Amino acid sequence: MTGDPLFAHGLNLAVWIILVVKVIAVFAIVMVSVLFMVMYERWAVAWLGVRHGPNRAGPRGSLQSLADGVKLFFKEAFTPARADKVIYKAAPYIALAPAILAMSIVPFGGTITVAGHTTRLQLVDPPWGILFFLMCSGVAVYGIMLAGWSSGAKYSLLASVRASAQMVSYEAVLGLTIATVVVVTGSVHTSAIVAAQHGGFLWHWNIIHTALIPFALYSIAATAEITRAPFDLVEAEEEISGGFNMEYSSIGFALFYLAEYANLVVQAALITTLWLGGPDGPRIAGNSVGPLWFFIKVMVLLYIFIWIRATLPRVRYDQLMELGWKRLIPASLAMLMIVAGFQVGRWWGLAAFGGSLLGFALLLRAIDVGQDASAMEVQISADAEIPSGRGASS
Amino acid sequence: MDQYLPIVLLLVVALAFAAGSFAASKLLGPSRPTGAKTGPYESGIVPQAPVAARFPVRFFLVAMIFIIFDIEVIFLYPWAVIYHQLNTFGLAEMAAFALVVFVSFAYLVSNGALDWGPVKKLARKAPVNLTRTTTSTVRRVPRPDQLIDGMSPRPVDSEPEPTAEPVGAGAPEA
Amino acid sequence: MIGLLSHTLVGQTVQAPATGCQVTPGKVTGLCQAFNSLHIPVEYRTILPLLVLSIGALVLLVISAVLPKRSRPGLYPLLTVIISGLAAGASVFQWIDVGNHAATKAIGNQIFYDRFSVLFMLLISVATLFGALLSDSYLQREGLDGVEAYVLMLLASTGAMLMAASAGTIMLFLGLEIMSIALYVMTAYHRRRAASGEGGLKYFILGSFSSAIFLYGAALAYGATGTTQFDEMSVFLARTTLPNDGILLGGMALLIVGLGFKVAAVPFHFWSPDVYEAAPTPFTGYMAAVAKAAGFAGLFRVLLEGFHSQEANWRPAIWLIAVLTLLVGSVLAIAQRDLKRMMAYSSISQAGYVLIGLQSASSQGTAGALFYLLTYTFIIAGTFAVIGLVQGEGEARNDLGAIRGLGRRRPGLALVMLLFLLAQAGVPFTSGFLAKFYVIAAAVNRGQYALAIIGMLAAAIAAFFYLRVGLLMYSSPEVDETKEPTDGAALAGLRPIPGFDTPREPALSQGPGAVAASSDGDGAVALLAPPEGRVEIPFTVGITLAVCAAFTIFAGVSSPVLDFAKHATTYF
Repeated sequence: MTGDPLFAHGLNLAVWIILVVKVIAVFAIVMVSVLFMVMYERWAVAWLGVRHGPNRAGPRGSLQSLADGVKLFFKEAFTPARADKVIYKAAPYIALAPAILAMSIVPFGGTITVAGHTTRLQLVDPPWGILFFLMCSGVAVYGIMLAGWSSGAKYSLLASVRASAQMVSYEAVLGLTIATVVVVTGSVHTSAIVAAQHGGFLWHWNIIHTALIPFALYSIAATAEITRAPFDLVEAEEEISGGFNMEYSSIGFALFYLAEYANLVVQAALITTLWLGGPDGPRIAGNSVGPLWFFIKVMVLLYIFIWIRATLPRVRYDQLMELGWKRLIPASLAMLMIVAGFQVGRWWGLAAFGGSLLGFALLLRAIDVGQDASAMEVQISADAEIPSGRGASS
Repeated sequence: MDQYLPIVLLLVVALAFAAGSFAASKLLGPSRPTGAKTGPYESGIVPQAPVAARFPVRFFLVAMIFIIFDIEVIFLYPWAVIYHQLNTFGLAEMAAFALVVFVSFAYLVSNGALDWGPVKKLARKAPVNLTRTTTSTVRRVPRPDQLIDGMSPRPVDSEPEPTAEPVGAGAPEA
Repeated sequence: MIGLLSHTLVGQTVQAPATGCQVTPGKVTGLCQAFNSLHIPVEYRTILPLLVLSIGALVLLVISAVLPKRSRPGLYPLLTVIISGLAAGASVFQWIDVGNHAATKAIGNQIFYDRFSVLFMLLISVATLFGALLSDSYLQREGLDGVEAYVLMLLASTGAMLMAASAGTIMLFLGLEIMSIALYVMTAYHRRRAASGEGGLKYFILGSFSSAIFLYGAALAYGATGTTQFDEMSVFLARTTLPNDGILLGGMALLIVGLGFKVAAVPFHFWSPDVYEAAPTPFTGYMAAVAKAAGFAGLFRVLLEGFHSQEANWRPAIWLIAVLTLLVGSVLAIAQRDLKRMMAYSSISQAGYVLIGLQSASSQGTAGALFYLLTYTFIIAGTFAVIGLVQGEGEARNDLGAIRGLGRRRPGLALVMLLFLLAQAGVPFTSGFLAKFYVIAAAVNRGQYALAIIGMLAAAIAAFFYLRVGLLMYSSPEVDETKEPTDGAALAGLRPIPGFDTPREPALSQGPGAVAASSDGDGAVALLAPPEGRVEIPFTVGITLAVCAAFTIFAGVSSPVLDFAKHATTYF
């Protein structure tokens, strides 16, 4: 419940300096990890595809992403004639800010003492905790939606409508699975969630405590929430030629790109925090090396994200929505009740499990009935006279 | 207050970074807008119609159903935090609540409210057009040595006579 | 529903049990709150009818999710009848239970468990039962049958019951919203009638507006008294003299406006004719009974319990509203040529009598008002059952001409309809007479002679248009347009009164009847001949009519129903 010990003695100059340094540090962590992530991805995808990958700028092409970024500053930035000027300009800010802000609640592990002031390696541990992340991902929808809408182009608009439907659909899964974690740990504080998983490598982690399935559901939903492959319908090149940020050039585009990768890094960090024990891990040579473990876990997760991207083809939009609504949401609701049941007692858990099975059967039957209903509707509209001049396409 | 301050600072830094980037780009980058550049990009086709203002109603439906689940999630968090104190009482209450939401969800699904794309049952039953084969639908582009001077390239497997059958079973009369 | 209830529980300041930790508002720690919430005894028997209805609605939804669409016509109405029958049985059990024990507050003091609320639960269950019976044949005739109508009906009844049982403005608002939202959808239920969608939208916009007003009033009342509970409010106001009671009076006024809208009291009645005309006919009957009953239950709770000590302030306001409601309803009903619109104004005028009962602020007035609402439920269900039968497929004929000559075509049906009309007019030996008699007697006993006289005057005006319909039923079905109109229709002066109520545009009332309604040139209205086809009475409608007619006569000639209502005036 207590906040950061940094503020225990009020705000004086030293505290202010530490605070500003921490803020800058978190911002730098996001920025640097984005630059690194772009490179990491290009190397890894090239390796998985048996290609060379970037190898010109810097040693082994390691400065490629920086070069790309610098290049974009020198490109022409123009506003499309049909754009809604104010919103078009504001959208990159709205996309970028939540991506960076979400990083502020991630605990990197342990405390540090600087000039007599002890502070946590976590920018802020607010009482609303993990809800802050849900808020950020809710606001992130606006960035993409407004960007596509304000561009005044067809493909952008299509992408933004797709994006908002996709992101809100998977946000429900995120909310339900995070609630499972909160049920187990009994707190929404990220620091408390991490503390509850402390001790015993893997065994006390939420991934085990919640029986693995919510973790899998969360990871799938997180991939869709940040519109990452194979759920990157928002920027499907073949269909809508690049998506919501198509009309953005130069730095506007760069900021969306930045936000996208920042979201990816933040998601990896949050999966680590929520499910993989955060900085929890064995001591090395008697020293607690939380941040190192945290870094390793994030690296592995990022690699898995890249691996998935290199392996799986993009899903169709109807598959995406069916997966989200008819599989993941009911499954996460059922897992929440089952985990909650087992928290109370074994028989309650089994009862919840039985109830979930019943619900599952009901849902399967409902899906079947629903497809019959849709088929009937199609039949009716096919039989009905369509007045000339009105298209029947949907 | 001490919990808000770092977030506000970080927000300021993030916005300042974005604003600074825009300013730098304005200084460094050229600015020569033309009509072609500022027009909407539609894969090279000059846009004729304005952007559509209407969308399939399914998107609105998804938005509304999302609200239901989001409200459920909002109710879940306070419950989850004190769940260990509530114990079986909490479990029973949330089970009742989840049941209500789930039953209405099943009702929605059974009405096809969340069906997207082609109706699966119809697609499976759709009759197969036997006239469509690889030879009828795949257009073969002639090799350069098969081209006759002055003629546009056309499929090799079509007859040279002008009365030839149109290629492909996807022809208008099919 | 259960979940909702429990959610409102957690977060309320509850009386801690002797062993529990003390809770002070504003300093509620999660642990303490949870501890106390564990000790809230959820007395399920106090909300038994509510539970039956809401669980029934869920069961209907589950069944509809597993059965193919449109496979079992008649299954859902049958289940709805069973469910509402069970709810009625549950409320009878409650009636006896409250008689054996004292009336209590239950479930975190959010529910009043007294005979007043039990009476309304019984009334609403019965209205739901009639609604389901009447809807079945109507919806099948219109090709609209499905589970939705019945689920909405059950949910609306749940909300209405919650309103009647509410012990505070928060629960009252919750019930109000549950009921209203279901009713908005029910109004717009007839997908192929443009008027239905239009009416639903009007109802929705005006209804949400009035809900907001109600909520604002509740907030102001909370600000003035520091509580949302009616009994605490009353205790506070009796004990304290507010030096500046502007906030209290403002809150009270807004609460009256919000609930006055739901009961369609003038001047908050404007939605009522449009909605009554727009809604599918059986739903109109259901709405007229349930929404009105629930709205009045709320008004009684707020004014007679919450603001009991403020009588001097709210009685003049209710006096004015009652007078306006009585006169405007009766006078404007004369101008109507559409049966359902006429019934809408008629039900506005009937609400005026209940307001007389409320205005007298005595147990006699309350008993009269309860008796009025109870009998009106049966009368209105029967009336709309007949209208639903004569209007024909697609609600083609809602004009007065549709009922013309019914006495020859279906003498029995016409007789029953005549009974309902006479009961609404307040003719002796029907329940309507006794109902009017008791509320006016209550007003006289409190010295409200002017109000009593206006009430009787309004009854005389109203008798005019009720009898006009009666005459139409027994007049010749032939139409002679050349002759000077001398029959009942002409006597009644079937011409629109300019400036009062614009007749519906023909585009909105579909069907052949609409043409005749607007084709007259010089005032004499040509009523189109009624449809040739024989009016078939489905079994379910027949049963409803028989029960309603029997009750209307029974309650008109004997006193047990009134005794019943008198018992219900003992509040918590």
